[in-house]
Amino acid sequence: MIHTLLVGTGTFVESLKEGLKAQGHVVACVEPTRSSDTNPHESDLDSPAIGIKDAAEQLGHTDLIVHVPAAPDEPKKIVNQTEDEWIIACEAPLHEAIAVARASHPILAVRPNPCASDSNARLIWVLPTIALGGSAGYVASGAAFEGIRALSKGAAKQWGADGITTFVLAVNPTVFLGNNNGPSADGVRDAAVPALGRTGDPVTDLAPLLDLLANPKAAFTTGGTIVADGGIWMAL
Amino acid sequence: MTVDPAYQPATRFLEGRVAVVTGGGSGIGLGMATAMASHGATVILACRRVEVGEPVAAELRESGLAVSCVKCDVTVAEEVATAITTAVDKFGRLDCLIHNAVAGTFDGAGPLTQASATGWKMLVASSLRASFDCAQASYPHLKDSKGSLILLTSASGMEGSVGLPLYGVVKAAQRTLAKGLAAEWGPDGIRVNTVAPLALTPAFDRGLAADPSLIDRLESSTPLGRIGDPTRDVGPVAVFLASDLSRHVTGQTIVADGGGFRGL
Repeated sequence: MIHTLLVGTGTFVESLKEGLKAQGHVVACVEPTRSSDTNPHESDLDSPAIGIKDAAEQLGHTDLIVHVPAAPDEPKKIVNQTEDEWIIACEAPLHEAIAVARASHPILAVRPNPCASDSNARLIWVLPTIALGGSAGYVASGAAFEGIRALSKGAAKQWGADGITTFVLAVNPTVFLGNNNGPSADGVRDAAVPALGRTGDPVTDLAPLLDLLANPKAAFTTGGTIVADGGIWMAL
Repeated sequence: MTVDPAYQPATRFLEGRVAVVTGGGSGIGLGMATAMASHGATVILACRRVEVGEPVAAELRESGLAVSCVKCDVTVAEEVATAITTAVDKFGRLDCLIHNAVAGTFDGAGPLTQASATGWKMLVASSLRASFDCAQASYPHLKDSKGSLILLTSASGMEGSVGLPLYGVVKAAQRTLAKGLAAEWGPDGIRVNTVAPLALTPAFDRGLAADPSLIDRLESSTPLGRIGDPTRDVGPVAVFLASDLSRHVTGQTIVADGGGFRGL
């Protein structure tokens, strides 16, 4: 049975939780500390993830940590963006992702035989595909999400010897943006029609992929990105 | 690296253009500035330390190039705005802004679990926040000129970095920042691209001092067999992206590293 710690908040995260439970995972959720969003650098690099350790202890052991960073509810052109809005959309999610990564390392590294071939200690970020291609109206958050992809790659390289693997699940922006219960991304919605004709359901389309990546049989993949957007982004 | 006034291209692609280069007083910034000025551009070196930038600008002027220096700490939004306003007030237009400056590269080195908040703060302030400030301050002028914004990225932002993981994070962010801006500003005729260079610079020298085997490793893994020169190898890429030669190119990354990174 896979024990999963889900880091994030909002309806999208709740749906992922439901989907992971349906896959048989034991799931605990923890909300990042986002009170210092407009001045993330006033805190240290670990503050946004201070709740992760306790949540992991409640799980007993942790196989999979999934981080869903915050995303803006509405598009906004960069020339109209205030500095605080820039920080919330770009710098705060990056700061949070670094904190989650740092908090995850000791949790995942203490698993018994983490480098064994039948073990998979996985850290996954769920991000919208605007990380890959950028998007008008989401310049700041797109930058943050691509930064998190590089974080995943750097962590994969540093922590492979510890038996920790990382991955990014890149999903359709329309199911992700506004994940704090706000409206979806109108500016992105009409950009393209998925080849599969639907944008993707967190419960039935995305959670099974997280389960797949958490499986020890997938443990030889690390630092990569799977695009799960129904077939829009095919440039990899 | 010193000034390279001997670089004299046969064709001048940037005649009448005005460009600002942050961190233009040394290294890759100076190489790009020199190449652009050699192609006819009026170039303003936006330097945190004028005492470094002004002698360099003077040396280039002695070689017949139109180069000046303005004080600009890119971590201070007001100084970014002032540098751009000064360029426009003095020369009447802005055709290209290159945000090249970055600080804290090596503060973010080593294990992620031991990275310092101070180093991260400096990386973000000098690269990402400064890009935001550069974008906001330059937008109306680049819109007027149908100009070009160029940001600096790195292969470490595309493949991740084991040694400089947080540097990789901000350089990756810069790249998608440019893609998003390209989408947002395309209707205004503004192009936004990134350059991923590897060249012999003071920063490279610092890395070499810490790891003398670095140059052999890099050269052996580089198909062209050498580390680039800021003016002659990286500079022409900036000239291309600032000129009409690239008029239909936006949202792209050009890797100028001798072929070491081939992941695009």
